[in-house]
This record gives sequence, C-alpha cells and structure tokens, in this order.
Amino acid sequence: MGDGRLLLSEFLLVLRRRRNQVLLGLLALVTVLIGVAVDVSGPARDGEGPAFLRSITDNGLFLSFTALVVSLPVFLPLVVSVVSGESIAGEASTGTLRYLLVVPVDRTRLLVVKLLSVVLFGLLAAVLVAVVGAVVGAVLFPIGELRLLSGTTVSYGQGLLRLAGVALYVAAVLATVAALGVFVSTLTEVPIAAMAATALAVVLVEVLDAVPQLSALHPWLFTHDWLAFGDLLRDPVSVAGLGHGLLVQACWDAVLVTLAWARMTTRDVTS
Amino acid sequence: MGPSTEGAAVTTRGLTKRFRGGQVAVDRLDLDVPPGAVYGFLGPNGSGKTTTIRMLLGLVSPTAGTARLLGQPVPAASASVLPRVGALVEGPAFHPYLSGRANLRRLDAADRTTAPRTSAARTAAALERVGLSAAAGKRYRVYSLGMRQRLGLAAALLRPRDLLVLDEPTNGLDPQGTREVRTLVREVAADGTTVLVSTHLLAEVEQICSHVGVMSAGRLVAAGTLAEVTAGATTRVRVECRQPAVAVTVLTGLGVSPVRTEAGTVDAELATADPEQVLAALVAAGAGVRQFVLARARLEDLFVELTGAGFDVRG
Amino acid sequence: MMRTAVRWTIPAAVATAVIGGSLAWPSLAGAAPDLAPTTAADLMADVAGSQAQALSGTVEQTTDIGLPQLPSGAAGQDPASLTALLGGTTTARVWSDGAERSRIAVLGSLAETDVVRNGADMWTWRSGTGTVTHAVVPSGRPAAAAPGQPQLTPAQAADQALAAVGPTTQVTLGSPATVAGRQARTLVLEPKDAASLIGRVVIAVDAATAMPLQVQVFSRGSAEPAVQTGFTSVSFGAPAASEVAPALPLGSAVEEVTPQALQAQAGTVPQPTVVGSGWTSVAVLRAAGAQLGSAPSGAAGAADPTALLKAMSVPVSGAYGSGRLITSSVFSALVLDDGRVLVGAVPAPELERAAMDAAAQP
Ligand SMILES: Nc1ncnc2c1ncn2[C@@H]1O[C@H](COP(=O)(O)OP(=O)(O)OP(=O)(O)O)[C@@H](O)[C@H]1O
Ligand SMILES: [Mg+2]
Repeated sequence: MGDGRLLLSEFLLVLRRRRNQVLLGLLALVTVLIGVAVDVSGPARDGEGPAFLRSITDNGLFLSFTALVVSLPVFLPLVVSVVSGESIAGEASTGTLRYLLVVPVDRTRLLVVKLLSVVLFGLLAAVLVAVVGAVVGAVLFPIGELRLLSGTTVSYGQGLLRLAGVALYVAAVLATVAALGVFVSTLTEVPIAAMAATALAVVLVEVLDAVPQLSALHPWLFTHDWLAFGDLLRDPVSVAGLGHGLLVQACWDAVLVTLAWARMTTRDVTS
Repeated sequence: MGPSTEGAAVTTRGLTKRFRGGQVAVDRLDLDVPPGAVYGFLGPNGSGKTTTIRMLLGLVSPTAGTARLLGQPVPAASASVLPRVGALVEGPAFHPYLSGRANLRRLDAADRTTAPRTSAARTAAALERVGLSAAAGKRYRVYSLGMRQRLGLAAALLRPRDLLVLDEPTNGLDPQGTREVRTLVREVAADGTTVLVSTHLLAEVEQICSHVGVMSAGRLVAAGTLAEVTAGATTRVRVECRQPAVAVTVLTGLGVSPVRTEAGTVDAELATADPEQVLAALVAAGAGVRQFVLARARLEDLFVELTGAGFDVRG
Repeated sequence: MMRTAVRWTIPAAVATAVIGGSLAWPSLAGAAPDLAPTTAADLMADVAGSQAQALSGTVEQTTDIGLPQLPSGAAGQDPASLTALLGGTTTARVWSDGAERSRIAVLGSLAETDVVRNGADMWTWRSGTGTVTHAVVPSGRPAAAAPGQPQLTPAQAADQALAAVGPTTQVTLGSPATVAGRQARTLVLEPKDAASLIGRVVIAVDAATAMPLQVQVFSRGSAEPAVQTGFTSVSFGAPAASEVAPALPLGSAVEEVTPQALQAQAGTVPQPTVVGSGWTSVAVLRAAGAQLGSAPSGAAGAADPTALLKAMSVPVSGAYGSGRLITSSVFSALVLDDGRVLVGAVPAPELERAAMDAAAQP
C-alpha cells in the first residue's frame, strides 16, 4: 500500500525495544555456543545430536544449518510469538492503539503494517542465525566445498546461496507464526497473554505433529514441513517438499490473516 | 436533518452504545456542536462522555444512530475527516520507552496526509506549543502526569485542526498548566477551530466555553449556549441586615421564599421577582439592609440540579 | 462499514475454500481419462513387453497396514530404514537412463539415502553417516532389490505382482485413472481364494509407454489401499549425467561390500519352505527367528529389531508351540520360539494350521 513510512517507524519500534534486542542476542548466542561446543569437544558421532552437527568440523557453513535446525522448533517461534503477541495487544494495553486509529490509521493498514513488521523481524532473526553461524563457522572450522545431503558437493559460494534460500524458507514458515500471533494479539489487551497463547499454540501443533495416530492430519499442520528446507540441500534441489510446505503455510496465512482482519476491523477499542 | 445542523462541527442523531453485557453507556444521544464553538461536554463519572467521543472518533462502533464530524458521516468517512480532527481521549497514551519527540514522530509517520520532510518541524512546533521543548528528549516513562498530558495535547495539535476533541485535558495539570490549556483552547478557538472539551472543572467551563451540554446516565439532559443553559437556573439573593425577621416577612410577602436564615443574613431564590423591587421593599420596611448581593446561578449548582447530588456513580 | 457478522464470513469462506480445496484436489487431479478400449490380456502383454524407460520422477510409497505405530523417523535418520517403510509415507526421487545407469534417492527429513547404479556397480550413500558403500551386483537385478533396500519403484512392485499371476488369480481391466498427471489403464488382480487377506492389487499402466506407474494393494473389503507405491510426478527422457550419476565421494573411505558378503547377507535368510499355493501360500523360514537378533545393519535402520518385534506383536501359543504373532491388514507373521517364522497373506488361524503342517516342522 505504498506506505513505507509507517512500516519503517513500526519496524524501528520493534527493533528499539530492549527486550527484542535481548531475544536476538540469545539467538546469536545459541549459535555461537553450538560452534564453541563442537570446537571444544570435537566432531559428533553418527546419529548423535541434531542433523548436520556431524558435518560442522568438515565445513563451518554447517554451523548455520545446525543452528537453524536447533532454533527452528522452539527458539525462533518463541521469539516471533513474543513480537507478534505484542503487536496489537501491546498497543491496546498502553492505549496507543486509540491514538494510532484517530491519526487516522486505517485498521486494515495498521494490521498489515504490524504483520509485515513481525514478518520482517522473523526474517531478521533467521538471517541473524545464518550469518552468525557462517561467521563463527568460518572462524572456528575449515570452509570450502559443501557436501550436500545427496553426497555431492557444491562450491562455498553456491553453499552460501543455498543458506540464503534456507533462511528465506525459515522466514516464510515463521511468517505463519507471525500471522497466528497477530491474530491472537487482536483478541486481547494483555500482550503477555497473546505471547503465551501463540507460543503454546505452536508447541501444541508440534506435539500433534508428533502423534502418530494423527498422521492423516500431519501434512496439513503448519509445523509439519518446517524442516523441508533440507530439500534445498539436495542435488538437484527438490521443490516438491518445499512447495508443499509453502502451500500449507500460505493456506494457514490466508485463514489467520483474514481472521485477524475480521477481528481487527470490528473490535471496539475501549482501552 | 434540519437546516439548523448544516455545517455543524459535530452532530449525532439517536446515537446509542450498548456494550456487550447489556450496559447502555450512551442512550439515543442527539448532540449538536455548532462550528466555532467551544463546547463544554459535562456529566458525572460514567455518564457516557468518553464513550460518545470514542464513537465520534470511530474507536467504538455505535449500536444505533448516526454521527457526523465536520459534516461528514463517521465512521464511513473517518479516513478523510479525522486528519482534520485532533483528539485527546481519556488521558494521554504513548510508548513508555520512546522519548516524547520520538512518540510524536511516530504519530506523524502514521499520518499519510502529511509531508515526511516537514515532520521534524511539525513535532518541534507542537512540543513548543505545549511547553515541552526542554523535555522532548526524555523517555515518556519518566514524564510527570502533567508532562504526559501536555504531550497528549501536542499530539492533538500536531497539525492545524478544524475540530479538537479533548477528553479531560486538564487532568493532572498544575494550576499553571490548567491556565495554559485554557489559553491554548482560546487560541485555537480564535483561529476558528471548534473545540469539544469534556471536563469536570466547571469553573474552567464558565471561563472558556461558549456552549455546554450536560450528560447524565447516557442522555443529554441540557444543551445550548452557556447563557441559555444557565438562564434556566434561578438567581439567588443574599441580604445582610439588622432585622432578618423583617426581611423574611418582606421576602415572603413578595413571593420570594427564603431558603436559609443565619445570624444577620437571609438567602433566597429570586425566581421571577425583580431584584430592584425587592431591594426597595426591604429598605421601605426598615430591615436595615447593609448588603444586597445578587448571585447568578453557578454552573455547579445547575450541574448538581440536573444530574443529582448523589455521590455514587451509575452502575 | 461492513456489518460485524459479514466480516467474519470472510475468514470462514477462506477456511472453507482451503479445506474444500485440499479435499477436492486429489479427485480433481485424478480425473478418469478417456482411453481406447483394450483387454486385460493385451494390457498384461503390453506391460511384459514394455521397454525400460529413461525417466526422472518422484515415487511415493504409503503403507498403512494397521501395524502398531512405530516411532517415526526423526530428522537426520536414515530414510530408507525398515521402520520408515512399515508405516507412513516414504518419498524417493528416481532417475534412470533406461539402460545401465539409475539412481534412487530416498528422501528423509534432513537426510537422504542414494542408491546409484552403473551396470554391475552399485554405490549407496547415506547422509546420516556420510558414508558410501560399494557393491558389485549381478547385472539385470533391480537396483533397489539389494539386501537392506526397499522395493520402491512401481515397476518393481508391478513385476512382482504380475509374476505371481497364475490360476489362483483373476485378472480384469479396471477403470482408467490419472497417475502423476499421465493417463493410465489399470489392471486388477484378484485372488480367487477367499482366505487371502489381500482383496485386490491394482496396477496403473501408463497408456503411452505401458510402464507401470502405480501399484496399490488393498486388503479384503477395504476401499483404501494398504500399500501403495506410485509416481507422483514423472517425465520421460534422458536425465542429466549429474542427476543419474552424481559425483559421490568415492575416496578411500568407500566401504567395499564383496559379492561374498552380499551372498552371506542374503544367506542369513534361509530358503523358505512354502506351504499351500497361490495367494494363500505360507512361507516357512527355519531358524530365522534367531537371525532377527543379528539382522544386518541397515536392514532395520537404527531401530533394534528385537524391540521392534516386541512392539509390533502379541504373544501366542498353541499345539504348534509358542511365540509371537504379528497381524496386519495384508499379512500375518508368526515368530515361533523354536526358531520358525511363518509369513503369509492370510489370517492368523491359517498360519497356525500351516505351522502344524508336516512340511513346516522344524
Ligand atoms: N468496554 C466497556 N464495556 C462495558 N461497559 C463499558 C465499557 N466502557 C465503558 N463502559 C461503561 O459505560 C459507561 C460510560 O462510560 P464512559 O467512560 O463513557 O463515562 P464518562 O462519562 O467518560 O465518565 P468519566 O467522567 O468518569 O470519564 C460506564 O458505566 C462504563 O462502565
Ligand atoms: Mg471519561
């Protein structure tokens, strides 16, 4: 909607928040810790620890992939839950929502800007983990040709390109958490409640995804294809899994965003 | 809609808000704020003033009825009319960890109808106007109550407005601040801006308002120019004299019922009697009048008369 | 301003569209095509005479045979493990040049197992361990049929099913179907013996190339396939050399699996005795129960075979002895304490009867 000014203001507001800076710092810290731990204790044995852990000592770039695998189930969704849960409910609880609305900011426009700023924050978080991993990996471990899941190798530059693709995919799946969080955030004036509800909902879906009796449901859970970014590390790149993942995310996004919109545009702002 | 409401700054017809849970906060309200007026929007706690203002600004959707701001229907035309309206709703609210200036910049950035390049100048001017220039860089969190109120006013005055809606703008201000708000309202009114101000400081209203409307239990119980509204109330007379008993007899004879008699003074409500005749009669009867004071009805008395004297707020 | 109720209908409509779309999609994609008539016999002959095709595609195998749910494969685990194949869905990408060279990449979550074949040479890459094994296999033997490897491709499964066609099978022509976006005719194989657990086997045959595209095994009376393997996408044409013959790390670390070792591995499973015939035949393996504990690594992936057996079976005993019984919708297996293992596509009582058969004595 050609409205970079408000989006920039909104994104800077999110970034300036001390708590959000701490969250980003913790994400970077997790990545550094994995690198240091592997450096100190040597390579992991087969089948031990998260995927790619074994490969870090071969190529430092795998630190990025390992850190993303480690952060994706809990840390990253948690960070996005916090920021998205805050988005509307935070403004409602401080009362700033009413002043934004009387500026006037159209409710749909405000919702879009809030959602985009959280999506951008998720992208930032994913890119941060990837970049910190790549840098720390390059410092602590050898770098060079990257051995893919298919057993073949690609150049380091090509590896960086694929890492960028993985970070984008992670940001895309985090966008669904963002949409969920923003929707929950429109329902309440208590930001903590919105954050907790969003994080719990994500964990709940992850648990459902792990219950074998519900396997018929699994392909339609938004967390099911989170690790499909592995398809970017095959030779040739496989698109079926990624495509399905993105399609499922898009379906959830559509439902959650329209829900948030319906709530946002009909809500009485009495805070 | 009659021709009398053409060009009105605010008009509502049958405006009603029933909250979920059944609470009727505003009940078939017909409000008319003429252009250029300084309209005192009065009423006891919980009478529905803030809810009315929220409906005017599109924050709360009315259960029934219509509202127009500056001639345009709201909330349908909110997007085009609200940039011309400055508002302070139920106290200021800003991001605590941003400075006053940064908070204003954020609100300015949210307004698509302003030029980004002049944003800094606009915020500086607004801060200057409310006397916050020195504290502009401080975080809102450390602002005192009065500074917060001023910042809220600054936000309402970020750009020239045709209508200012101020919900209790003097809440928490020191006498100095209260006076400044009064001056400010007079200034903007002099520029032709209509002001709708809700307040509990009736003395302020008497000083600055041209019109008043009194809410009670969600309904408008009195409305009009300040003179019209107060004219309905009775004038009082206070007679200080040597012979109070004589004075009482005279007053009763003239159909003026004394309300109170104390050592040497008699209070009475004058109703329709002519004060000059009353004084002449008192003197002629030899009541020994030392002082004869006419007190025009005070808004406070009227207010209590209209909305009841009880202390409890309506449920 | 739209009324409140009207606004909420929009997310409701979106949700309905999403759910409806996801339910309707398979039937839309699988609309029955219009094909020239043929006979079952002709179609079988076509399949038998079809040439190996150069192709690239994706194969999906889904197993839902009613076994107790096994712990599903975690990220990074060998996607070609037995536990992954006994329940759930396994996806593989396949490339073949139609002659000597082929590659099957079994996709796992953040893992991949590649079986690359060039003539008699077969390399297996496992991403979980980062290792390559090499073996020399008899030419002509299907690439994926080596020990520890799944029977994944529809062509292999169809070959097996068609090889079993005999007097106990009724073969008919099914209705045409669309598989992987291609028009296909279907063959329906039905056991004549009502004792068989298998109701029918449906083979979808590509109308253009006569190559089997999909095989579905239905248990008796079931409308949903118990086992299904088929292409979800396929394109015919020679794949790029880098795809069909990827540059695996063939350094000194390659573990050599000699023909003797292969033989030995195969030898750990003794030749079975067959009791009965046709679809209701029961295979009796002697002294195989003990071998379960020492199954070659890779055959059962990371899972401990003894624990796996415990998880899937119930204890039984009778005149034939005692042991554990595994039942599923398409087969039953009896693992006896005396070391015999009986497997067949028959209900448990048939197995117990076979266990007392003279030919099946230990
Ligand atoms: N969100 C809400 N849900 C239910 N009732 C509400 C809500 N907001 C306000 N009310 C009720 O509406 C009535 C009017 O409230 P309102 O805030 O408009 O009063 P007011 O005139 O502004 O009072 P004050 O002078 O104290 O500010 C009150 O009885 C209040 O309890
Ligand atoms: Mg109020």
